Amino acid sequence: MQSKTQRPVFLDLQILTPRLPLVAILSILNRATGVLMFLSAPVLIWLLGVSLDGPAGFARATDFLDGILVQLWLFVLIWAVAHHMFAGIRFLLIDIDVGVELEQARKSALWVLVAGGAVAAITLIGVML
Amino acid sequence: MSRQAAGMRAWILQRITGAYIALFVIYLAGLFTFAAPSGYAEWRDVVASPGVVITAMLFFLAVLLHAWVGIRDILIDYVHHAGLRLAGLVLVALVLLGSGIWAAKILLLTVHS
Repeated sequence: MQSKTQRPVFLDLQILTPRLPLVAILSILNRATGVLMFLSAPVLIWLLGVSLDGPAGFARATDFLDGILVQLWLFVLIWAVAHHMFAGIRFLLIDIDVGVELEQARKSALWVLVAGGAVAAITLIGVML
Repeated sequence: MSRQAAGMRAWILQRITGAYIALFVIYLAGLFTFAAPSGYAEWRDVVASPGVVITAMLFFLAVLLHAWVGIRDILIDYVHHAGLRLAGLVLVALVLLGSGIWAAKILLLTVHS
């Protein structure tokens, strides 16, 4: 004999919260930007070494920085540094009990995203001017 | 040291190094925005000045420690196979130590040039 109810019953508790809350996006972005900076570090150290290797090395370093793909990478990297820094400041504030409440935490998460984006936008404008 | 205390130490370390890195990055951003060195001699003089050498050394050390705590957390969260995790941690440690020594060597060579 077949039971009328299908068990186990799946309760979609996810609908009680937003699919990907802002604070979760911020956490993921903090990790992603951190990994990007970790992977970029050896290239930056190499670049530092080349730029300090006499006038010829300095010229090689500036030539390297003029490459279009390098510029794109630098742009993303500048955004990553700015975003990671603003997110870190937010963490420090939460540590000293500023903005712990959910509503404030959401608001500050939005501000971190906006501030990181603003630094990226200013960089882009600065490059184009 | 107990596991909890080690976690607490990493947590504090992450915040202290983060604050220092932020200050140095703001200095770097200011330097390249408002006083970007125009040629090799100027650039070398900036890097070789005592204040920059010392604060940059501390910066590299802070980044090394900060990256270690962060990447270690990520590896522990996402890599569950014990052998792979260990291999990943060893690789990251080697890359960070190698990068730190490399960066310190560049700074010292610049001071002595």
